[in-house]
Amino acid sequence: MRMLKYFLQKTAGLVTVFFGITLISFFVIHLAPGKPTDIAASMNPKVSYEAREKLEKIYGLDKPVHQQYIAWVCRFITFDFGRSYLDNRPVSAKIFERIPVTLLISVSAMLLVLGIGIPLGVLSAVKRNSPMDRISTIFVFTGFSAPEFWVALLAMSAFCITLGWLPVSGIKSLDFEYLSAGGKIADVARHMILPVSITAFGSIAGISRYMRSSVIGIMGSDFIRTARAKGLKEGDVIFKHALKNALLPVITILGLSVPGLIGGSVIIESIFAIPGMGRLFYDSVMARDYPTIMGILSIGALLTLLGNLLADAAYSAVDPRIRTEKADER
Amino acid sequence: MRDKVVLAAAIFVITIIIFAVLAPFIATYDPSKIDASNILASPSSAHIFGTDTLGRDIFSRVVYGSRISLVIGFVAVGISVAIGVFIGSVAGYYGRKVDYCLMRFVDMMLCFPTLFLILAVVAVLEPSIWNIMVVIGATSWMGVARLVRAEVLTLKERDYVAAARVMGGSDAWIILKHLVPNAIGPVIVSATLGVGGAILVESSLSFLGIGVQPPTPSWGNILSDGRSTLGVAWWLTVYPGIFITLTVLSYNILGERLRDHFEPRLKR
Repeated sequence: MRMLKYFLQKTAGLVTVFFGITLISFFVIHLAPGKPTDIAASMNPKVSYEAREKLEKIYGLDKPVHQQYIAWVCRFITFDFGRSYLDNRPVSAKIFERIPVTLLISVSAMLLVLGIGIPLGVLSAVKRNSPMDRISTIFVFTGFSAPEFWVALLAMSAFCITLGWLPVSGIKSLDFEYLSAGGKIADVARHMILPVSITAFGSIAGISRYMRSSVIGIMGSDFIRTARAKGLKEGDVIFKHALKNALLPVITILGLSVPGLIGGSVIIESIFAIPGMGRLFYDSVMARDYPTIMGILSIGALLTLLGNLLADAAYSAVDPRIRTEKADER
Repeated sequence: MRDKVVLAAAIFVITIIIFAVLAPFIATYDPSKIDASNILASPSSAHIFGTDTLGRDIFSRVVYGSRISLVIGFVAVGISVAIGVFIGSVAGYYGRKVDYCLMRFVDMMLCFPTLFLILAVVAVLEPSIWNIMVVIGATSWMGVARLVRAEVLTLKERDYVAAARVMGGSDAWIILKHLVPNAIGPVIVSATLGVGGAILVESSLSFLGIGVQPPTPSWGNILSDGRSTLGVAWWLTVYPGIFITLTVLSYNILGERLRDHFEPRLKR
């Protein structure tokens, strides 16, 4: 019951945050000078003033911004994001055909981050100041400091151009349609290797660093000394006692890294020419396609909040104190 | 070992600052001088970092680019610290509803895919150096706000704050004279780390073509030029990238060192 109450409160909070985000996005985009109709109308001397007004009326751009926002929210609730100014297709269709690629990359990257970052962090905490720890520290600092797009370019020139092992861009080969089912999967996987590892690269650094300091912090606490004192093997002390506690702060960081992952898709997808949501966002921003921009911003926010909710669920699954305390607190 | 790394980072940071200040004296060529007879020359004694597709000297462009990167880094961080300190101290000092509302606003900003927001803003507002600085600053203050709030929450219970209040000090006076100066340590740490972050964001934006506009050289747009010649001219991509990485790395190392200094409890 408490658990349910906690999650209901949490969800209510998230809904508020979500509408806050859309509100900010909407005003930021619409208060900027220039209108999308400029491209079709004012740049074109043949279009009269009346025609332009008519165009603005069709898109609802003649109304005050707050009314436009309310109209947007009313349509949003029914999952109607409006139509793209560019090709007049429904925005939701445009976004939903792009989402799977972006999700595939982000989720695989996330798994890679968990699979490499956490063991790496634990290892360098346990073997502190060993050569292994030194090397991973160097790796971590480089991962924090090297621009994602630069690493991508270098990897591309090494693995795709010089060595020719991996395809340069896109998500499938030209002969994709003629491949067997297994061949199709292998083909997409080959195209995904670089984008996924580069997306994961920076986050692996972050997570392993947090994991390291978290484990080091925990290893100094009293209950670890007790566990050691009663004669447990060091392996049991680490895996049964320390790890679970050390994971807590890392879960929070994971939840917070979702926006970075989604934002980073713009860069990765534009370098590797991947037709995902990030690429669509870049193109829509360039064309001032307001409905698509708004649509992607809100879907991005929705995915982020979902990530936070998952992180929260994981958090309270690992730490029973959270479920009770937080519900009482509010 | 550790001290040597910190020293190296400090020297590199100072070198880049000297590059930026004395760019006209250090650059060996005019950064925008086109030389059609020297297109894509590989690194040599005449052009130590080679030349680009228009025959411009990469080293000189990198030197001039450090101006843009540093100015954007410092100003953006200045803006983000100003916003963060203001929101954090107000939230921490007044507590209750003010705190609750401001912290929900922070949560909201943390949920934004920041790069999406920056992209949208910069694109609708014409890319210019000023817009980029303001936008990076306005989307990166949340960490500072949280830190300052946490500090102020504990500081405001101290006796000397109570004393200041009894003597009739106004809220603004107490916040500015008694609370903020004592919370400055973590802020300096996060500002140092922030410079690196801001330089990274600027280079990504310029790389995407919506940051600093050519012909003004910035590390990001030199790299962006290098993208199309990746297979033929590696020097266009490698050198500016190394400069970005080393600069950001140095600020990160200095930031970590300062953290050890201000928060010795966390020393590892």
